[in-house]
Amino acid sequence: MAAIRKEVVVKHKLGLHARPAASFVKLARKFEADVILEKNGERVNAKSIMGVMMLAVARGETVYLEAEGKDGAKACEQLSAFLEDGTAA
Amino acid sequence: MREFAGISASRGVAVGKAFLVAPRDLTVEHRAIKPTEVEAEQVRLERTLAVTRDEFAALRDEVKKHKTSIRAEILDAYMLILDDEMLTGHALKKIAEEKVSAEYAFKTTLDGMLEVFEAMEDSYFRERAVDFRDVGNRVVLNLLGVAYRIFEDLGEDAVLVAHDLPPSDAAALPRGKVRAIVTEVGSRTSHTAIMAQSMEVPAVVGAEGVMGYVRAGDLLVVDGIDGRVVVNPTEKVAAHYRALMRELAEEEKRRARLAELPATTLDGYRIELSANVELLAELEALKRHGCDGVGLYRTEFLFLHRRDLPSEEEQLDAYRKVAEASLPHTCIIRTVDIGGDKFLSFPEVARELNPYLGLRAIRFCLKRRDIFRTQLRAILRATVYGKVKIMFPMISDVEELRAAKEVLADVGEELKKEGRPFEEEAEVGIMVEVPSAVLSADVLARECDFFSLGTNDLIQYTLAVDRGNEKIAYLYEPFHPAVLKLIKATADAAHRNGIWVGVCGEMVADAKAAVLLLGLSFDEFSASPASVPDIKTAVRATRYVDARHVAERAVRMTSGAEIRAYLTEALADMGVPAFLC
Repeated sequence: MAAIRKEVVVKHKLGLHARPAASFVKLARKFEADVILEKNGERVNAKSIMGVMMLAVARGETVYLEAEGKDGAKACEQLSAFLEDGTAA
Repeated sequence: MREFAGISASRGVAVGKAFLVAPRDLTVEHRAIKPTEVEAEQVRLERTLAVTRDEFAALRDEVKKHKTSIRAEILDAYMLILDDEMLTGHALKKIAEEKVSAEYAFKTTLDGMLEVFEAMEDSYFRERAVDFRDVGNRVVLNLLGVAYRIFEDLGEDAVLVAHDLPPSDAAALPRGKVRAIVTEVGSRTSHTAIMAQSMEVPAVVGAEGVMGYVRAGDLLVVDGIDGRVVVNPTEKVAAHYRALMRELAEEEKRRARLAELPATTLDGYRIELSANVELLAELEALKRHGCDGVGLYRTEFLFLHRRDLPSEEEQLDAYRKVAEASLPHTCIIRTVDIGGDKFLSFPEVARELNPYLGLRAIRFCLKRRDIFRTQLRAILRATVYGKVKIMFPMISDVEELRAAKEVLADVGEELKKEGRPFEEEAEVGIMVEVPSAVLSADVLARECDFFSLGTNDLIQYTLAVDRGNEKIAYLYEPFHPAVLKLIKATADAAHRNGIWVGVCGEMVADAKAAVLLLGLSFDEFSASPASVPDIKTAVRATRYVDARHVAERAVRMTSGAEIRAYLTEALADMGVPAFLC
């Protein structure tokens, strides 16, 4: 199955600070698919809190999500919705 | 005997035995393993990570029981690194490839990653490295077999001495066993200070060098009043501090007796003396300090540090608790007083250049009616559980008051249609904290049930002084004649129009101000629960007629310094206890 790739502009007020990053990682871990988060060419495992936080994603930045696996499309959709929506829990 | 100077972080005095908390940042030596040991080391690492996860989960549940959920949420986030594929994967690989021990592999992998954090421009991320290190070190300690539950064998009179108490340690401290806390780093607002204050034990932070000198079991004096630590004091010094401890305990008892008494002057003028409250945890202090209910419940805390908005039910639950804890007295719930920039859920608001003059408080609420309506629904519904009054912050124009009351009436209609009960006669008041509100006080007083003077903001707006700016802090003068004129005008306008007027703000915690405000005929004072006993002592030592006389003279004086000097002298003459003047 081919990987799904999506460009996302982060709209969180805090970007991916510790708590939003934790929520993001927890969400990513719900999917079987392998998910990569990419910023400025740096690629990290979206299920890794260290990886996600090391990217220091700030609000307004563009990142790419890449998911591969049987629920990859769903993962991509929900994770990008999380990044784009400031009110997501 | 040797003395260390530090910062007083939690008041009180204690004498006890030093209990040293090992520093969390460990050096782990390189240790080679045989190829046959690789698998065992890998298993050991994975098992230890699982054990540490369980420990953290237990800690998180413990924290959840005692405190707000924020601390628990942060612990929750840190726990994620314990099953982080990237970190664990690297460490496992390192064990196999470099033939090194689990602790060495884990520690060096973590350090390598944290270096990236520490090099980041954003200070937020740099600080997180400290927290991750704390969690990681716990794993290392577990791998090394160092007993982590260090606090189990604390003696009865332990004084904790640490370089720093990381959040996980601070949260694990057993209540009732620790006499005092001393750290080498930290400030008045650090975790340690907050924790010590909530445990009501003295603490001195920033006592540099103390770890390098003290040995476990040394006798220590912790002076949380002056911010001093004395190691192995002479018998004379120890005796002095033990006497001081007894005096403070007596003082505590005196305060407890005082709590039962009303805030009435010697000649029978009764003032309501209520509490400013922000956290529900503070409600427990209301009775202990003898507060007449809650004069200001700041609802901001419900809205901060979160990405979603508190639901109506969640708010109702908090307001109900405040209303019930205040009984038989009233509680005043102030609608949320923060700017749009503080709402994580409201990211479209840009950071403002001048937030104190910006979209905040009632201005924000009138713009975001959805948030405002939900809060008003919750407040109205809470009125059936106690004596609730509603207050709008930062009113600067009568049109704002009218608009807010219109929303309130509309929300009331909505509740009626739904058949939900609420107190229709609940009083509605405003904070008077903007000079324009004082100057239109007569108009405003005709359209609300009470005023509460917010001194902090009124002083800041009147004198054009940002109180957070240290360079001009000397200009922040509560006794400035212009401020006093506005305070007097507010009280006079309220009484002219037949409504009551209170004051909430730090100013009233100063006995000089309390007597002055008493003389200006305020009906209510609201201050932090801890300062209520001192204010009550001052009120009970004063005659109302004297206070009136003092206030009349003070408002005619020409400078803050002159007014201060006069008040200090007048209070002493009136017989107000010297420690309050």
